[in-house]
Amino acid sequence: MLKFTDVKKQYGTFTLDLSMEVKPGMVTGLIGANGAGKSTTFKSALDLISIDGGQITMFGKDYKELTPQDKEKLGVVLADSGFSEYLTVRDIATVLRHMYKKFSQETFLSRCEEFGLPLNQKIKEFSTGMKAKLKLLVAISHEAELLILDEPTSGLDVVAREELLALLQDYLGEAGERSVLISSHISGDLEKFCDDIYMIHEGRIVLHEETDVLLGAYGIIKVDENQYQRLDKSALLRYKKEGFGYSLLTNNRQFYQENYPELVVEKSGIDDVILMMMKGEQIW
Amino acid sequence: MVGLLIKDIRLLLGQKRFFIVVVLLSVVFVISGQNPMFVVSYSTTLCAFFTISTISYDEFDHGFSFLFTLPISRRGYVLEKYLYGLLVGGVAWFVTTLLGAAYNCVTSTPVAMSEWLGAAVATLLVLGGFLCVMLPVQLKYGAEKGRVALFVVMIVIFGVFAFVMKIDGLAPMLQEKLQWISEIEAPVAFLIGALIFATVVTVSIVVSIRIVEKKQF
Repeated sequence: MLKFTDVKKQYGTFTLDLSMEVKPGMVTGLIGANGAGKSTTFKSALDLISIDGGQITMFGKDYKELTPQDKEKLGVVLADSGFSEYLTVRDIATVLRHMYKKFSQETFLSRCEEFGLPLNQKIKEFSTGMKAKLKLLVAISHEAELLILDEPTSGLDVVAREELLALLQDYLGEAGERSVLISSHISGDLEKFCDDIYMIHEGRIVLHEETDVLLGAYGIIKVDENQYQRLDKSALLRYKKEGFGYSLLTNNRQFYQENYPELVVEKSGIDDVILMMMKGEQIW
Repeated sequence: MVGLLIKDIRLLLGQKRFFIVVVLLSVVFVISGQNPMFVVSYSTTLCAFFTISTISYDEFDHGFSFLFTLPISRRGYVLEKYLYGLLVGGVAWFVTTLLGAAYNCVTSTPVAMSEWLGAAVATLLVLGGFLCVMLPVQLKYGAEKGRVALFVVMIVIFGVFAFVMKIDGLAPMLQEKLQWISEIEAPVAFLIGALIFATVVTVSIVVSIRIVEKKQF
């Protein structure tokens, strides 16, 4: 559905250099710290910025060859951009009706009302949560096959985040092979929602794994110096010096649980994996 | 493009109070004895400014980024701005020209219809010329710098006029050299004027499309 092949972009001292793919019917997460390159990745796919090398394909076509008709299959949420805030929901509905063949004004307006969005009030008078809900409702209003969501839950409280993610889940469950590329620095959102996750750090992909494997097979091992020296390091990805010895990231927790029952082997969440991948040292 | 036009018209309708003030001021100008042609140029110019301000609305709060993810092309965005300017400015021009002509008839003002229409067409050409200069400037430099650029353009135009008037004998000499223009037959002059105008508009559109196609958000 969306594929980045050796995409490069240089901004001063920052270099984006990555390959990744969103397969049909998959929800793919992109996680990373602020400034890691998430928004740059999204903007390059949306042709908002040029790239210095590599290839991006969307819907099987080079992204530069997408026509307005192709873009009708795309739904987008950008963290810091949306419709002019001097418009109302009704204004936006009228605009969308003339832009997307598959847009249903009635369904859109009733969904907006369901989520407590006033139809005749200017968007600039909406709260942060209301603006975020509106952006997502716009993105899913026209049966898009690919959703590109750049931090759609940014700035929301936990209740609003749950509502938005539930809305997305329902949307994906409605029809066939809808795909999503979603970025966030809130790992909890991605854990529940994504099929696979890419981690980006300083413009590069440092990890790509299926979410089930990340949560099921990855783990953190805490060892002292002696234990570290005796350990089989073949299934270790990163190590980090601590006061007590080392924290170690493994992608095969079960191996260490079975072969080293005396060790402290903990399940890891995505946050733990991110911290270790970014702050830890690689094991050679 | 239709969706973009609707968006900009909705933004215009959101400024109802502004337009009520414009209408009231126009009535006041006419009642206080101002030439109705002033109302034509005043209303038409304001509508031209509103076309420029739709770009400011689009630019505000990084709005361009989201706008270009919608099913539009960058070329379509530019063409819509010119079409919007033509529609909004054209409607304002048409309505005020008609009302002004009607006012002249009702008050038996001694203005020949040809003179009135000539002045009205000149106003429309000035509107068109203004948009052809300001749209690419606004698209290139944005709202803040675009205002500065407009100011610079006005200063340059006034500066050129002042220079011509200041130099002894220059204005009469230019007038003599350009005398032949007033001797051209009206239909031919109209055709030449239309061709020049069409060229200016085409160049402006091409430049604007190039500017927007290269922009990064």
